[in-house]
Amino acid sequence: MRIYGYELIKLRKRSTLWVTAVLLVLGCLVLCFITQPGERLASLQQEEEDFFHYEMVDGVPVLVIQDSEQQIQDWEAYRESYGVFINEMADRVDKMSSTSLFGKQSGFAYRNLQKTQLDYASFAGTELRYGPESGVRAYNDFSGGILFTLAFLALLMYYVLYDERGQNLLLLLKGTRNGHGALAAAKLGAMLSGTALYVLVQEAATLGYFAVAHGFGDLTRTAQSVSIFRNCVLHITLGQALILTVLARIGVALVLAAFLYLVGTVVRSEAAAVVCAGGILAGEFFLSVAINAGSTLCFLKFLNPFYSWKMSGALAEYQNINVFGFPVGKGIAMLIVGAAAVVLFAGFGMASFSVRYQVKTASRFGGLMLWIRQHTAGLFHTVSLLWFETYKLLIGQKKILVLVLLLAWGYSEASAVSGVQSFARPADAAYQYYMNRLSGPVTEESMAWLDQEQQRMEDLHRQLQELAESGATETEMMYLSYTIGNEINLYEEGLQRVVHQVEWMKTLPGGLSGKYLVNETALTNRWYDTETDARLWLIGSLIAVFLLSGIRTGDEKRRMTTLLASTRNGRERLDKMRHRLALVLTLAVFIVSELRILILYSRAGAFRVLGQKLCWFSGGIYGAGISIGVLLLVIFLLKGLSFLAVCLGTETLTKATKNATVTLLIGGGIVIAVYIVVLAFHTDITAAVLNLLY
Amino acid sequence: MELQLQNITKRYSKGAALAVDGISYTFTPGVYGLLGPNGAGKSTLMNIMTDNLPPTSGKITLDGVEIGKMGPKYRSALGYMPQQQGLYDEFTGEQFLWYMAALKGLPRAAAKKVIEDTLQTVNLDKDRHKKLKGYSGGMKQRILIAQALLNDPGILIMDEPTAGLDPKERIRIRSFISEISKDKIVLIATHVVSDVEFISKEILVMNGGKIIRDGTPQALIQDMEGKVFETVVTEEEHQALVASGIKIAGIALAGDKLCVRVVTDTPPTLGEVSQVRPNLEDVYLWLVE
Repeated sequence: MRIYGYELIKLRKRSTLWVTAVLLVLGCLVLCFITQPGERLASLQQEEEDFFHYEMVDGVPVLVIQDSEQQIQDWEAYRESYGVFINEMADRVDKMSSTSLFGKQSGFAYRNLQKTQLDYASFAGTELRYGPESGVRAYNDFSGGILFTLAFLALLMYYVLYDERGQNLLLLLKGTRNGHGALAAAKLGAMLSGTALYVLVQEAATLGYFAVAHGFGDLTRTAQSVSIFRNCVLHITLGQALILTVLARIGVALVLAAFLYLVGTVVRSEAAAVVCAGGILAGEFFLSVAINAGSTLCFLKFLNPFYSWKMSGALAEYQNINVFGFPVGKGIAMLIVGAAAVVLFAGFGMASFSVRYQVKTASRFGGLMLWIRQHTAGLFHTVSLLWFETYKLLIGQKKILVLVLLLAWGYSEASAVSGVQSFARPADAAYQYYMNRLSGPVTEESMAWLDQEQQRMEDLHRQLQELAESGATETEMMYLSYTIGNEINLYEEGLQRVVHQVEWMKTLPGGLSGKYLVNETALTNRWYDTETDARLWLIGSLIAVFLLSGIRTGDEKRRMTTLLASTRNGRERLDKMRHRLALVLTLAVFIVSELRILILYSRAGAFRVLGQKLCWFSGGIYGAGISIGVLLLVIFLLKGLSFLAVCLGTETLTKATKNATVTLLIGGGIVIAVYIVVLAFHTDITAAVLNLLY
Repeated sequence: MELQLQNITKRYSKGAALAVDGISYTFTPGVYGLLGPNGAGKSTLMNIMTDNLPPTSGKITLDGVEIGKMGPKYRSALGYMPQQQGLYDEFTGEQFLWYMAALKGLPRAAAKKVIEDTLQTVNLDKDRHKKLKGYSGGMKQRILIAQALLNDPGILIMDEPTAGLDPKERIRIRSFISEISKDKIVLIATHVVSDVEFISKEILVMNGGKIIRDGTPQALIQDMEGKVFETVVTEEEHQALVASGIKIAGIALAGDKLCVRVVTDTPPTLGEVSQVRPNLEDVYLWLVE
């Protein structure tokens, strides 16, 4: 037990481990957020109210209606179908049993039918209660958490198993009385308990996020009240289902931890261990998605960590596994196989640790790496300090992983705004529709088309008037007035905005000549979206601080500074190169963090109207005569300067503290403080610039 | 070439003892051995000589020019091998040398040639593509020596250069240093007296921040003539010798008795005493203990 305690103390002192753990949990939350498109989130928050939104389909706004009444109707239909599903189970089983396929009483098919009937029998009369489902659905749909757990596990495996061996400390430990079995058990215990703690924190944070963003409703209603639990055969409440899901995920993570422990003790190289474990897990993932539920190999799908991670996989979906002709419930099978896997992996891992895991010796993988290094040695036959500093940071400190995460984040941010455009109000959707047609230089053709649209609206009003005066039947009246009224509701306000914009431009010097029509709504919405700007700045800045914190501190940690400083270029020139590297990385982070904004500007048509003067906006809300292009350039430069400040600040901190963790904590703290201030005053760089021009 | 230390002192903080106390010395080409116990001020002196630490007072000049003013020009003439320490685990031996060549400002072509030659010299040619984290202590020591030699330095400052080396490598490196020292100032700080005993032009013994004795090894040894004795004693007599506070340089078994080597002004009165020829270790013991 004391050895286990010391293993935990060793892990506690690994600041990289726990700082990364915190970042992974934050990353998981960010992924939760960005995989929920803003419009959808906003809609889901109004679940108890009527709501609708408009989506642009082929450039035309289409109304998507979903109101609470509709939801209640859908849920009532589900409740009825659930009752029928349960009550008619016995009849269905009887009918199916009479067929030849299910009739053989000693076969799996027959036994499976009987078990299914038995499992569902106790659910007759189950009380279902209506409540919001979006939180549970979103939690069920979000399965990205397993990736963050695996990333943490890989790091934990490195620190528990490889780090000490790399420092030649393991021989010392293994030479002691308790250095074999007891030490192996302590390391296994540290891995399992570290994993359980991390998953608990991650899942608590994830549940907290979905509770705030969507809400789970009444947690005491039966789980089957939520339609995704239709096939669940556990008598549990929704709250219990959430707790069981967290426990199931901890269980899955423990199996993965035991598996990585085994791999880590068997495979001699950490890189080979990652490749080996990654390959096997990729195979598992493939099996979880590729195998059909009705296949004879379905047990490979169901008894699978990726399948079990999903709430529906662990609890809701009903399936029996064929064990020598007898049906065994999927949940029981998962528990037994999971426990057996932990015992087997742990047992073999401990044996491997005791017998063969002591010193790092040449392995085949090591030989392959040596061969690769021999054949790529020419890449390093350079006297470029920038090249070596980049290599030290990205490869030596493995910060290249941060760059990969940066690109993944940029991609997800970009893709989140690249899909179908959605609008909460018909006027916004219609305005977008008109701007898609008219945005750009004002021409005779565009004005003629606008006139036609105005004429169309007038015609619709006239039709409505004529309808009222005609002798149409009540049904006809209802149908036509609904259709025409909808058309008017959808387009009229948006059209009026455009007309108002054109009228305003006519009052400006020179009239419409040489003027542009600008998508004012999209641009102003973009400019005053402080939350998005601040969030992107926060994440980008934290990534920049994390990346840059290692540039100088790595040499301090290795006590290399004296040696470097005693060389000709080891002072000013080296510092200059490091500064250059910091600038390049900051620029990369800045560009990636601005991707979403650039796409939004592109979507708003901003790049087509860069020459449009800001004072030409409707109503003259902005006094400045500068063009949109200049404004965007100023905003872009100021944002760039804010990242430059982060860069210079982090560099100053690394020089002052000479410690990456302290730099990260102080720098990260300052960045978060700035973010909070920005949100509190609801004024980011863009809003501040516009306020000056107001 | 002349490297001159003029009344160098170093005090790390106000009120603290002097780490280096008024050292003046002139180095000309040749090997210098710097001996002294831990805390004697050797590392501080070397940090000042490599221009990594400013002295509290005094100055160092190279051919009459203060090294602080020379800046990169001084460091171009400098080769420094620090004590064994953490290296860049992710670098191979060859990559590390290329990095150091870049830091030393060598042109690519020159770097290529000198790296090849130096890897041969330190016998790491076959292990050049191995990562430094896989190097043994001796290999790390050799790669550190190699980097110090890359710029063909006129001044070579080495801290414990043979620590962790096996006897064969130790002799090989020692011979190499001796070979290259003809036109270089080589300063070797070490605890291993034998490393500098036979190749040093002069030995400097430091203690308490001062050079307490310097001179050629022969001169230092000659000064000790008549002060080193061996006496064959029983275990009880040995305990009595220890209790008397006499400086004991070594003990060996001699049948059922002990042969004790002592350094003293007056011959010991216990056991069968014989005067022996002193060596540099006796000098070191005599001066610093």
